[in-house]
Amino acid sequence: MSKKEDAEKGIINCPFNPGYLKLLLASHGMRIEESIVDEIEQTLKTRRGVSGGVELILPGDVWVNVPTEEDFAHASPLTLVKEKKKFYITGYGNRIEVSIVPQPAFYEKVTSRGTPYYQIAVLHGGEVHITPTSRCSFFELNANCVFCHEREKFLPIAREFITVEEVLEIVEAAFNDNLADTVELNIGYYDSEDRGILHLEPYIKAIKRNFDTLVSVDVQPPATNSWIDRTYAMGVDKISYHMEIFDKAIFKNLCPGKEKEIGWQRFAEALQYAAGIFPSGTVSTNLIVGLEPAASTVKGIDYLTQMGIMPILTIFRPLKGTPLQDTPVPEVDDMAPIFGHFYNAVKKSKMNMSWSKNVSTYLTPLESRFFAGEDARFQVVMQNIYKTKVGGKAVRGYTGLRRRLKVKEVEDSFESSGL
Amino acid sequence: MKNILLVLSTTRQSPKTIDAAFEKAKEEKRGVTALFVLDSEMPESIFEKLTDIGFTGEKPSQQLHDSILAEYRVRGDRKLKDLGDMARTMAVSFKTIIREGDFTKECLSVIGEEEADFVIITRKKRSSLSRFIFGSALAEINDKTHCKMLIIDE
Amino acid sequence: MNVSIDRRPLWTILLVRSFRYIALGVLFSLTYLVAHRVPPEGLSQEGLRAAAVFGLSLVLWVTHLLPLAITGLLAIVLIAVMEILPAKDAYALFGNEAIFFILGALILASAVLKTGLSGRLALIMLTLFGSSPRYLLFGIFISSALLSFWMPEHAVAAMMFPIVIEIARGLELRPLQSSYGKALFIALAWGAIIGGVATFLGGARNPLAIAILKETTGKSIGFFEWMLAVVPIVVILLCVAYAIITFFCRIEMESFDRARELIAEKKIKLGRATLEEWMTGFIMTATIILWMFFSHSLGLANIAILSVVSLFVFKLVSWKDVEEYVNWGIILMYGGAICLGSAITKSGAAFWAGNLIIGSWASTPSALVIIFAVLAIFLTEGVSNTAIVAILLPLGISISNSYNIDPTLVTYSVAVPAGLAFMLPMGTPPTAIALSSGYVKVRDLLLQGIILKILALVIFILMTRYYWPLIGIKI
Repeated sequence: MSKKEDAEKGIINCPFNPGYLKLLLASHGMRIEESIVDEIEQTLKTRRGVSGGVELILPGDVWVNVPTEEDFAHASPLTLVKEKKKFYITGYGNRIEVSIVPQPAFYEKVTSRGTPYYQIAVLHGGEVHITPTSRCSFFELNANCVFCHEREKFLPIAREFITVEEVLEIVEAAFNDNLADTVELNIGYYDSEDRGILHLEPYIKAIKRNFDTLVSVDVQPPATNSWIDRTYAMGVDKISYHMEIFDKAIFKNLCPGKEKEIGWQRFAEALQYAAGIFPSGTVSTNLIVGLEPAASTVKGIDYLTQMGIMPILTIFRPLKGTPLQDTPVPEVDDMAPIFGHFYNAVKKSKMNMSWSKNVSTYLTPLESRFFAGEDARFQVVMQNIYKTKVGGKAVRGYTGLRRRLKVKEVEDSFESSGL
Repeated sequence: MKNILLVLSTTRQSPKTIDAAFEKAKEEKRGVTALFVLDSEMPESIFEKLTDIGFTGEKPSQQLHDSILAEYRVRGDRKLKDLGDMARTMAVSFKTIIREGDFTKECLSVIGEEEADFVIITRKKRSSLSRFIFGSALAEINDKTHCKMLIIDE
Repeated sequence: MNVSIDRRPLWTILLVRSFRYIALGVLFSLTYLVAHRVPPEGLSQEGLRAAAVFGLSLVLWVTHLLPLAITGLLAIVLIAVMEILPAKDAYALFGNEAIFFILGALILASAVLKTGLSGRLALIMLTLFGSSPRYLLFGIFISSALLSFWMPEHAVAAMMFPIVIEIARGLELRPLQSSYGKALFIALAWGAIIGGVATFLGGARNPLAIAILKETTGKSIGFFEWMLAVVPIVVILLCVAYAIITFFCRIEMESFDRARELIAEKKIKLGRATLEEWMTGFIMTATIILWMFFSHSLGLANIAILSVVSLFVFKLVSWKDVEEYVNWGIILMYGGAICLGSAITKSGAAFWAGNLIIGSWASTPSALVIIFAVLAIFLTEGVSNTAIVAILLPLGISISNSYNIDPTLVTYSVAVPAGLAFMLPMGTPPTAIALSSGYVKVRDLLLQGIILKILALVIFILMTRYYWPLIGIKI
């Protein structure tokens, strides 16, 4: 459309910052026009927790998960409307066309043992996130992170662990429907030396043996570094040990279980060690923006990026049913400099920022470029290449070769990790 | 308090390292656990030379390999016995462990088993280029342990 | 479960891991390119191809990118594929007499080792010489040497090591501190090395040299002839080597009783000689006598194989023993080396290369002999002595005609010095064995070894000049 046509239709074009809009939507949520509430509800059936909102795709292929249920969302200045089969976000005198990520039929399916997929897996962009068990010992110890839901309140699962076969079914379904091409496995805290990675091992091996894909894990740092070696050797391509808070005193307050059972220092050590083992940009940790002063988050970004660790800056979302449900959300204008700094810090560290794609729950380093006034053309091109079939194949080939060269000694059979 | 772990091997037996370990133990009122690793690299390279260059059969080569390792074990035992005498003289409690195999692997294994929090070890003289290309056993051990390490240059 | 992650940069790992493949790729490509070039003046196309294969084999033998035996096999294949020799002829060289001789000799040696006869002989000699530290040192030295006359020197060093280490331990000699301990192990190694050149049995290189000589010229050297030419050199070398060892290594021992006790204990433990030992000894002695005096009429290989058969007739060895004690790779090495030698000689490549590389330095026959001796004695420090013979001898034989030299003289000049590696562990296993004892440092071997090497070269040259003419070997 030309600018003249836009003006005739009453659509106002202004310099558009998709990163800013993503932050705005993520932190303030949106209201839904009455006429489309039922339609949108269909996409929310299986959403929960921090990914419990509507998944939108903004211009520039920027994905965002937008809260709609929380109280702050009901007061949002942004509204989702529909006009002539197209969806728009309106607010502040602007109107931006967006796409809705539809609810895939995937969620309606059940495993061979009768477990609904939505109880075990969530699709985020190109990733299928699988939680093989709902258990997290922090809840048992009454020392859960203050901002976290207990899964079982939302998704009771009869068995402690779903089977490897069920996980493979889910992955196959996600891949066959072109809904995902990578897998993330996450597990809560386990009070053992390996902190839960041993429970994930059979799933990882089976996935690697049966699919040509990348596997991420989200676990707690193990007690000794040799478990990190083993994590890499078993076929894990990306790893996250979520620190959540950089400020040690606030960490102790908001994550009492992590502090008592693991310790902030162990998080830092494990992340640093993992950064020496895994490829650039694949070791990450959450820092929740809005739960500590901005200066502390910035300090955390510098500390982590200097060690080769990728911070994941999630925006604090006060979830209903948690002690922080009434805590105000951070303001976008306060957050913007953090993300600008984040992009520059990652760029300075020369970490690969093209790994993350189609992420809706946080701003990726590449998306943060919008706050640093940079085009980052090369990185954008690289990311687009990674998104293609050939590019994806090349990345998987590289990670497999790298593992083959780096893993020196394996006593058990690791066919699944391509060794 | 936990014992100080003193790491020795067939090629790492520096008196400087041994003295440092016992002095530290005495100073901090701790014991010493001496680990002696029978490094299998040399016998294996002789085995290869005998079979590949010397065209000697496998049995005599293996017998020599075992004989060399047996000698290293005897030396290891003797060294540990000497250290035991030293420990008695200095009134330091003393424990010995003898292992055969790859130096790095055995060190890490014992560090884990003993839950050592302080390790004293010799660094052999090598060029930086050699360390860069072929890696360094001490760097690998240092990376994989939480405990403090005191490295004494040969 | 033990997992270890290589922390070096990825490019370093890739380079180190793929270096061998890259090197092999480059070598094969270069061989192909060279073989397909227009040949230089004086060399036929066939000769150029043979030279290319020779060059490839030389680099592979020196660098050990492939095991020695596999390089030998590769040489045969390339000679056949590149039509340097007809395939039938190339593979027929596997049936060379020398191969069966060495095979027979190795099986005989395996019987000597398996029955324990070698150990008993070593202890007998040590008992004879074990009355003082100096004599014991001499005893170890001479036992190693004399056993290496009749058995592969590497096997002798491997067999003697446990005996000497027990003596060293019994005498409470401290590794790296005891001068006497150092002397014992250098004596073990040098005795085996020097003794190994005395006959065809001490090392695989000697029969190989004879085979290459026969295949390329039709001439041969008999078992006794070889001994006649070489044993006097060996005797002088042994005296010189012993003098060097005792000069550099103080014998600081005073009390010696423990060594005598140890040797006596070992002898008692061995007990009386068994029937198997007697019979093996008898067969071995008979075989040596037949080799010495009847090799021309009966044939070296025939004698060897008949002796082997008799071992099995009397059940002195089993096939399992043979499999365990004999390294079959030697057949591939021999076959390849003989085939390569034949190919480069018949195609003229050896003559061309020999003239090009060495001929320009040698103005007289004596100079040529000296050059080959020097090359062999120094190159053998870094390269297997069997490979040295395979590389240098065809060149030497080919250009010997231009200098009117008997090719048998050139054969001695390459094969004997090629067996005298004293300085580095890469050169020969006995020095590596001495180093593994912990009593000897590389710098001890370097210092004493270079002196011995130079003296050995001088002795060899003097013997070629003054002794060999007396027995009919003239320059």
